[in-house]
Amino acid sequence: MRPGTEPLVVVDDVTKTYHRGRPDEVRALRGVSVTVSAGEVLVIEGPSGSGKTSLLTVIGCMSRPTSGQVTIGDRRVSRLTESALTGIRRSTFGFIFQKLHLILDLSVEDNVMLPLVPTGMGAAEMKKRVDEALRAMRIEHRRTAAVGRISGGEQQRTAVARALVNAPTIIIADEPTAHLDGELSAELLAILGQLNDEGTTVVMATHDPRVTAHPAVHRRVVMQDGRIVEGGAG
Amino acid sequence: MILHAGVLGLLVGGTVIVALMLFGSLVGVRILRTWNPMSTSEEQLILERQTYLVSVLVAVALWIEIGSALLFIHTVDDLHELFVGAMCATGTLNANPVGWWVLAAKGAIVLLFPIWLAVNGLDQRSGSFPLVRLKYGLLLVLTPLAVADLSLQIAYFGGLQPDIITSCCGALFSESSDTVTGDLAAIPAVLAFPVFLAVSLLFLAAVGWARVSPRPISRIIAAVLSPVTLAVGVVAVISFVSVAYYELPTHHCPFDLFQSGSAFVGYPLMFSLVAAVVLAAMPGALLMVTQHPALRDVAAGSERRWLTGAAAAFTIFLVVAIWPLVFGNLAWESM
Amino acid sequence: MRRHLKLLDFALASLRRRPLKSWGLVVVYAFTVAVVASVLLLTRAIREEAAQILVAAPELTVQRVVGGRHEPIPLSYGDAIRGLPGVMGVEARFWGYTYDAVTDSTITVMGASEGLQGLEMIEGRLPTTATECAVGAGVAEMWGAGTGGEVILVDAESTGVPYEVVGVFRAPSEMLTNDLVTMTSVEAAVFLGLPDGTATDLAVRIANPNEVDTVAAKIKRAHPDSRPITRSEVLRTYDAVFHWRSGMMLAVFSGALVAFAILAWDKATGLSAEERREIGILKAIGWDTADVLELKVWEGLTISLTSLMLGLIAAMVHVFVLGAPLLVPVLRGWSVLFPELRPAPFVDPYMLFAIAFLTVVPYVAATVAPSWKAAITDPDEVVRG
Repeated sequence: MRPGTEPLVVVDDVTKTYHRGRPDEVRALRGVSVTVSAGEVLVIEGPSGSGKTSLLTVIGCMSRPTSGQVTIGDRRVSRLTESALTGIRRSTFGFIFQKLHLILDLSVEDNVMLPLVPTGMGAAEMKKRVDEALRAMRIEHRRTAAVGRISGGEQQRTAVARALVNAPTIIIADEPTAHLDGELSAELLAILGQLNDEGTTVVMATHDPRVTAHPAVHRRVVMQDGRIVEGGAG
Repeated sequence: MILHAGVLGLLVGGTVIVALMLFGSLVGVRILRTWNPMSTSEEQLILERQTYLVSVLVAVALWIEIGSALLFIHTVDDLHELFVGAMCATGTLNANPVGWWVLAAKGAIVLLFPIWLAVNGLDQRSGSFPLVRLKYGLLLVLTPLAVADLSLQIAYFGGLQPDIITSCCGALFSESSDTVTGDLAAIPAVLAFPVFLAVSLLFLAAVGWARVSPRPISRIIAAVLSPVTLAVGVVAVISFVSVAYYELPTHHCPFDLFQSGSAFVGYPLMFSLVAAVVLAAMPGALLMVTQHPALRDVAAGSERRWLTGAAAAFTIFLVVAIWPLVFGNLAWESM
Repeated sequence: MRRHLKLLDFALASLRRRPLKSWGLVVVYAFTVAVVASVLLLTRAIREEAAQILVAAPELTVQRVVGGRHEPIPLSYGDAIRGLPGVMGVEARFWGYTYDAVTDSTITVMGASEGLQGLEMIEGRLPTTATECAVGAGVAEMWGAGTGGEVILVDAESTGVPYEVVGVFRAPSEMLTNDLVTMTSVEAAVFLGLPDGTATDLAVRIANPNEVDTVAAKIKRAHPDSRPITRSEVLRTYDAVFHWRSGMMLAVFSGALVAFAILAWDKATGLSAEERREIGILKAIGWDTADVLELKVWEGLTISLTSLMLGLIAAMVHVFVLGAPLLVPVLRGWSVLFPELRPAPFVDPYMLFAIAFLTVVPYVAATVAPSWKAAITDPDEVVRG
């Protein structure tokens, strides 16, 4: 899909400091500005510790910036309370984590269902959504298996299915290929490319050259020491 | 002092409630002192998370208090065997009049805590915590109430001596008695019933109007009618509902309704009435809050739920109250 | 509504996934409930039993008191009382205790009287001559003497007196007859060494219960050295004593409650790394603090209700089936021949509520803060690994 010009996420001069004022203070973001357009696949590159994950958590409404503005759609989110941020996270974002973060002794379908549990959605609707996500990831045949007992590739697909189940506008993926071999990486990137074709915006952090070189990627920014050193907006 | 399972339960419950409320107040004061909605510091984030702690503490305290109110009624009821002249809870309460104050304190807590929780719920769903100061200010009013509740219970049970000769409901709820309750009992049903019915219908109409109309005046009317309805409801219970349940024209004691002989009908009766008036009063009582620009959207949904709940609870109350009049064996004239 | 059910469902699943921790907590919790419930069920059952006995008791019992001590009452008092308006009948009662060194037990000796007519006999009849007696099941068993057998009791002059057993009692409540030996009234008076023309006390029957207090006052006025005791007074004293006993026991066991609350606190605070990670994941994928809190509430309720049920069942088996072997020593009175306790099952909703309140409230209070602590787990922290 060709990215639009309409900005979906605007990050404006954001800083993020952990443990501020304490000896173990970490300044993870030091004034980052970046714009994510609707429908694009954006890759954030950089060595570990450069602030990629911090930027993803700020974009994904998982934490509030210490200073600066974050706008999603037409909503300023940087000063919202945690539970308001949770609401946005629930309705707008799907997450694929570096360590997958599945609950190993729950079944595949239960894991995929988890984001829908607190929404109060009806059982039939929930089942429909879960079925769709499982089918899209071709993991239906393992739906009742405990996640701890399936292969790495199947776990990967379960994690993506979980990210899709709430029909997110934006998928946030943190080092999604870090633990995958070449074949699985290619498969995952193909899936993300396909999702993007269907209109989903994708923001990925990685330092994997296979990812940056992938044809589905529209744009990349490079981070170092909490700043964007290449490809930032404005 | 009487050592009795119910008494111990009440004292344990009261102590726990006070502990929860003191802890909650402590956190509340800390939040009040350093609250800064403009700040994005980690400290502010910690304070925001602590607001959840306070709300859980208060919610748990409320639930324990509701249980405690039930247990209190039933315990004083159970204890009447220990007192010469006592036939039900009234006698036990008269054995040490502090008991009536315990009842009042429990009533106040059960009426006020839900309001605090409603304010808190709105505040948390608003996304910006506009009511923090109001909330924790109110908390400092509720906590002394919990302390009073516990102290009164200690004073009450501590002052109960099994050899006290007490006067029971016969003296307090008798038509010939010279007390206020006696006067209430003496109101003839043919007079009390139409008033009760009129007030009930008015109340339901007001709740219905507030449910469909966004105008503040509708909420104020429902809120003003609530205490009136509560009072009229209690009078109705003393005047004719109790009589109809006992099928004894001269027996007006409302506490016997809580005994097994009356199939415990007192519990659904009183709790549906209290729930109905609390819920109906909520939108009006919180008018200042619900009109807040940051809250108008979340408040609208909550108000609808409260009013629906009020109508439902009051319907239950009406059915339970009127049932024996329609299906009972007692003739109208004898009330 | 659907949301609550889904959360409950998830809570159940997550308890199942940690069977060791869940069941460990349930076992200790249920034990605490069982202890509290046993005390309450037992005292309640004994109270009920005592009340049953007293139903058969006379409306008014008259004793004579000299120097604050119970003394034999002259039979002439009874004649005077019989003349009072409202009195249906007066019966002199002869009863007392004797210690039996052979079985090391105290036995109640009682003259066969009207009050005993209602008692059921397993076999035989009431004594009619001075050498006969009827005994309670406990005595019969201890002496190994059924009908036709013989018991030897030590009388007021310290002589052993043999009596032929002509009947054995069974009563709805064993408490009443277990340690009982009855003989004819005349023989009982001699055996107990009561002075001629006196009885142990007088049982007064009164037709109208409302007149009991008036009659009692009249007796007191006519005989200032008498002590009329109304049935309701006895009932009240019993009640007070049993409440006090169960209260004392509960107070002692409140130590157990506190220990339990601490354990609950510890279990709830000791959030394992795995659970912490799980909650972090849930929060990251869109669960709110309130959702996790509710999850914790459901978990707590499930644990509480399960433990409450199991504890109550255990207490009922302990008290009603096994006869409360662990508590009887505390409650037992002075007599070795105290009846083997098989209280009739008696449960009322109030008691269940009191038990629930005493055990659930400390648990809930102990777990509030830890649940909150779990619920505010920072998703960010988990994601950043």
